Amino acid sequence: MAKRIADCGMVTERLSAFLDGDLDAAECGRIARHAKTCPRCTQLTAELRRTVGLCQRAAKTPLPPELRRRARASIRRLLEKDPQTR
Amino acid sequence: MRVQAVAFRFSFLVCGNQHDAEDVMQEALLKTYRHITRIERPEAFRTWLFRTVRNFCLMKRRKRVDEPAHMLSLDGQPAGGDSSSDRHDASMDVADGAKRPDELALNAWLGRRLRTALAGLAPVDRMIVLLREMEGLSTREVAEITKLSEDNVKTRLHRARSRLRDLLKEA
Ligand SMILES: [Zn+2]
Repeated sequence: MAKRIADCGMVTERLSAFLDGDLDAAECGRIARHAKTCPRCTQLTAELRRTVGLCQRAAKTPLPPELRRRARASIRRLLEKDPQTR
Repeated sequence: MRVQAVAFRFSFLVCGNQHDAEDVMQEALLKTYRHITRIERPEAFRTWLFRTVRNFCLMKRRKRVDEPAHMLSLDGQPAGGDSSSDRHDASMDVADGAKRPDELALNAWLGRRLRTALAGLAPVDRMIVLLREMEGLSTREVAEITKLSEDNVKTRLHRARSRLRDLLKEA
């Protein structure tokens, strides 16, 4: 039981490193094995993965057309204005 | 348009409003065009660009201390107004902010839920999330931009993700 609680703490602390592939094989194995038997850590892992995925997907959504249009226009103004960039 | 789009997106997120984002992007890109021949390693370029945007945003922010806090106030100081919570960001108020075009654009782009959750992060942590998850930079690149150690970036990223997970549940 004490070991199990210690492993929960380890998962809580190391989960980002685990998801980012920063851990060695031994540590990865320990987390994966623990998560299999611990509903709390299984849920935690899934939730953190979803959170990261949500941010990553948001970044792939293109900026709204109106903003893109304004960005392009202000770049054009910038280039017309600055003699060094011509 | 690739560089411009990236610079604008990041400026927009960091500044929290369209007007400042355009100014910041212009200044950052002007600096970029002038210095581009001196940037030796191509892989150093985006680090350089984000750092430039970050610095211009900081300067902009200092000039506007008496205005409401923006989405990413880098110094972490809530500026004026409601100080009941130092994690509250006035520019992220969806209720009455929804009338402003740049508020609408932010909501349309990020989704109201994610945007509200991001507003609950400490400013530096939010910047780390933006750079790491949304711009896809490495820990080392984020460390260079934020001037934090790589270990510190990792610790903060983990804390930010956990907090974001909680905030998404509440949102
Ligand atoms: Zn557990």
